[in-house]
Amino acid sequence: MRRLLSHIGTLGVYGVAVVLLVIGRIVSADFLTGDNFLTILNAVALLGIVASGMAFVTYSGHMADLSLPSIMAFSGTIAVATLPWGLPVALLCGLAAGLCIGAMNGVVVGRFKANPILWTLAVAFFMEGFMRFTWSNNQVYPDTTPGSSGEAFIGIFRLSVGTIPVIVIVMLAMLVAGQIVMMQTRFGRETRYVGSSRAAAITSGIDVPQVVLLNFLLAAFAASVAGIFITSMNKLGVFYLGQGYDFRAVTAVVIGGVMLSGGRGNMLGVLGGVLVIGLLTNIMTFMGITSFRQNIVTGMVFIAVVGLQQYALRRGGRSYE
Amino acid sequence: MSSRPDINSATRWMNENRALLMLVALFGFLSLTAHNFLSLHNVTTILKGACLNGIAAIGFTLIFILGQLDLSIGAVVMLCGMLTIGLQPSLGWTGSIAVSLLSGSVVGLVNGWLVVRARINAFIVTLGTMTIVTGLMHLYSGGGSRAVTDFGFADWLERPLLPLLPPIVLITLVLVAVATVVLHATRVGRNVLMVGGNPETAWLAGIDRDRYLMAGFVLCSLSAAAAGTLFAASLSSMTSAAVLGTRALMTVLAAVIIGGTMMTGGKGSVVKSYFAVLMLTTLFNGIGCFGYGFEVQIFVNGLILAVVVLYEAYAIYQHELLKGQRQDLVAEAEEGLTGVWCEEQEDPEQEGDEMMQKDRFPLVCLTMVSIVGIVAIAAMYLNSNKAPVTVLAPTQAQATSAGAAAPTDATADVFALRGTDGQPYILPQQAKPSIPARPDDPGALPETDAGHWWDIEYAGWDVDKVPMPASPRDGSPGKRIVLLKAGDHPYWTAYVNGFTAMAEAYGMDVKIYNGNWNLDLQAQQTEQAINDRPDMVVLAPVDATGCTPLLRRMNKAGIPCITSNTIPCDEAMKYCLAWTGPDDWGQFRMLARTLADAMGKTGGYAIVRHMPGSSPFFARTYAPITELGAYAPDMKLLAMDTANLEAEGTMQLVSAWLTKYGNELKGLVLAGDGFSMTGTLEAVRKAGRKDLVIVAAGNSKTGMDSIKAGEALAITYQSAEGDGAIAVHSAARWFTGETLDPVIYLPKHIITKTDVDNYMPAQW
Repeated sequence: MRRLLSHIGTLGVYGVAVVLLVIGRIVSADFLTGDNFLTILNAVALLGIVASGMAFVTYSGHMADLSLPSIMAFSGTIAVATLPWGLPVALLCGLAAGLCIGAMNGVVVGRFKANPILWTLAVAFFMEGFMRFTWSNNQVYPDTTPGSSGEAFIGIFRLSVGTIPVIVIVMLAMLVAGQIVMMQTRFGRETRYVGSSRAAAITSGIDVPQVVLLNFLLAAFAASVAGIFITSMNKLGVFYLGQGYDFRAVTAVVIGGVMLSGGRGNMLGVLGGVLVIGLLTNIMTFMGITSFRQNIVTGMVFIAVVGLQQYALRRGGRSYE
Repeated sequence: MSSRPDINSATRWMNENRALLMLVALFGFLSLTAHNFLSLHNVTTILKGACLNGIAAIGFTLIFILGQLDLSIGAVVMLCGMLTIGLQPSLGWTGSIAVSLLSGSVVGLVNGWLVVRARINAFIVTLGTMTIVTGLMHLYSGGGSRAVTDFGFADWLERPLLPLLPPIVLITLVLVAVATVVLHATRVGRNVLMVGGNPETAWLAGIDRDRYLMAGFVLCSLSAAAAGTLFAASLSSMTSAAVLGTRALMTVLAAVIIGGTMMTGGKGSVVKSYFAVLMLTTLFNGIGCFGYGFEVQIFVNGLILAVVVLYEAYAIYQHELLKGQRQDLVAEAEEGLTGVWCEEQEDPEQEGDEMMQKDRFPLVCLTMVSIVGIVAIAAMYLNSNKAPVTVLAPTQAQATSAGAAAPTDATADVFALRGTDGQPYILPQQAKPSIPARPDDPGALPETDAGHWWDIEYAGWDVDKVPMPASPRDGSPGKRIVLLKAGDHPYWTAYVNGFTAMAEAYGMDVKIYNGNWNLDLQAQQTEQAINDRPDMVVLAPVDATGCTPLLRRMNKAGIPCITSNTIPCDEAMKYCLAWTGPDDWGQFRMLARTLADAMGKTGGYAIVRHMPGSSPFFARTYAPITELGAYAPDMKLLAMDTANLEAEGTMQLVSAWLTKYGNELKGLVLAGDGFSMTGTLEAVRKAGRKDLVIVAAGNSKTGMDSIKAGEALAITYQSAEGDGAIAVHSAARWFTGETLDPVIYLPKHIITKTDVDNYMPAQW
């Protein structure tokens, strides 16, 4: 029973997912089709990739990384801008660009112990200014003549293995890999320790700045991958891509049981959180609820689910807040 | 040799008062370097511009002091502003303000209850309420903006009672003063500081923490409500574009941090937050004075916040090193004993030897960041000097050389000027279109009847204009023209290209302000434009109803104004010479007919809408609905919704529709051919529905590529460069003394596969 309660976060979100599946079936006969599931997975694939990175930041007790959207835009735009050097080089440049920002974040938050929310907010501001300035507020288009690397680049988003798009596979792979890293590696356990109690982690001899740096690097990596996909999808790179993904990712991560205080939850929960958001939106569209009311429902579901999780943790004696 | 860290008192004093110091330094710097900055009018503009964020910062500081967070203030600002305006006709100002403040308190109560009683984390709760309140606001406003015609209150708020102090600023100052006094001089205020700083001690002292937290959340939402109410009242209108709220949240958060209130709670000052807000407003104003764009503003904003955050981290680090130390004893030890004992005492410290290196590390990095920042700003300055934007200063040489080429020559030439797509910027004046008569009561007609939308569709045709400034009748060479553009977007880059090309042809000087889709910012920039005293202002409104007070102010200042691109409401049209731009409604009627013909005038269709709060939100939805209702009554509207012009969102929406309606859905109307088209094409491709007929508003590169590839049927032709050029052309015509039609449309055309090549390469 205790073990059960300790997994209440993860179980909780899958419970909600099951409830949504039932509601969806009642709403429409087309809901439980493979096609529809694929649509839902497709819709939340990007969110899932970003959430897999954000989860590490939250798990290590740093609440949220508000600079992820600008990392997405930056890595994607750099990737497009460097396409003339060939597709693999361009992808590497894009990833490297994102990782640089992540490294900066990790050093400042880890070594200098700056407040993560405020620092990443500052980074989001000056990255936006920097990107606007560098590309003169314009969009950057890849050269898509057939046979060029540009064409291959925009094809990235459109690849699929059979009927399943590559982006969905990447999302699932990243979430599974994230789960392994979080639960099975020493780094993952150290992250949990840092998230649960930073002071205790320092006293135990864990190299906290290093751990934090790696966490932010992982988040930036996920954001860079997502950035490449979103740029590939939109066939252009621009500074306002990815806006809104910071709060959306935090929503998915927290619904999935990774509490904001840190040190709780796991990646499978994050997958559940992403699925819940996708299912909810899909059902509401089926019901003909327009986006204004959808916002209201999403907000209420979010508060309710997370509130229940926190309540369960308290009742189970696992948390004092 | 002691490496005991010590922040000497001078540094500490500077840190404590950094907001005020930064404000004074910035103010001094700008007064000396930016012309037009140090005028009564401009300083009043800055004070007025700080009101929205300043009042919201009062409550936000309180919440920070209590150790909590409230992300919903932006959404509350918007909701309460909307309620104030929306209820004013029925309840009057007192009634609507009361209801608006009450709703703000209710949101605060909900926040407080969830945080205190349900014990859910404040970040989570306020993130959720932010989404909910935004949705409520959109529901109430229906996605549009609201305005009232009664300007009495707005005028009273804006007119200075004393120099530099209009009532709106006085109200802000009074609120800030009251909050400061209560916080620092009363028992209640000190309790607040205690609850946030040391909850355990507060509990031991018998202070009811729950009640204080509850009150804190209510006050925070209340102050956000007050901010929104005053803002909406001062403009007599409110926009429903959510960016205003998001920007307010970010600015207030940055200001409160810069002002010295920390997120950990227990320490803070409302007046310092206000100084920080003033500093940020001055910064934006000053950068605008130089003619730099939004990118510089936000870059510097981020840099300042970064430096402050780093410094806070450094200060905390210093503080923690001193934890547990008895300063007086250590000082004694330093003076008296200089032996081994003193140094041994320091070694067992946690950080040990690294303390020395770490001591300098933050400082070094701070210096580096500052150097990078300075270099970046210098680079931007140097780079911007090459930009086509010039500072307002007509040159003699230009006047005489252009004057030699008489205005008539320029007129003949301008029709031959072509844009990047090879099309001429403007065509010779077309015949004034005939418009249907206005129905007696448009509001009573159903939404599916074209008459219901008459006031919006034909805004400006039927208004009586107020007295306008007289034309100087001496042609355009040497005239100074200010463009207040709505925001950054590739469309607007092309717009500015066309604008400046046409202005160069006429020999005019151009200065550009970027409103960044923010009505607050555009209001301030209007004041700055008035301060510049140009010969003509071209205003591209951020909001169709919110621009009314802006146009009114310019009219009162005697500056002629042409509105461009977004059709303002009837009331606003009274105050401007003319409006130029694309005929959104007419274009979409043409597009709808093209769709109907392709679908054989039968079948189901759906509409992907524009962003709420913009004028195409209505035009690009109800023009096709009403047109198809008359032209092809057998066609059925299956669904309509917005995806905020995002590709993934559109993809999700259209996929869901395709699953739900299947083969019943045969046609799609898109409000944009950029991201909306990309998302739609993805969804269509995945569903394998090549039979779907897609039409959209154009004309971007993405849209034209999809036409060429046969994936979409038709898009509207809307020349962004032409949009900019026609505004300048109309200004030039006015300068020669011509009377302008109230509404001047760009040419309309529907692009299909047969003629798409004529419009390539795309302007944006």
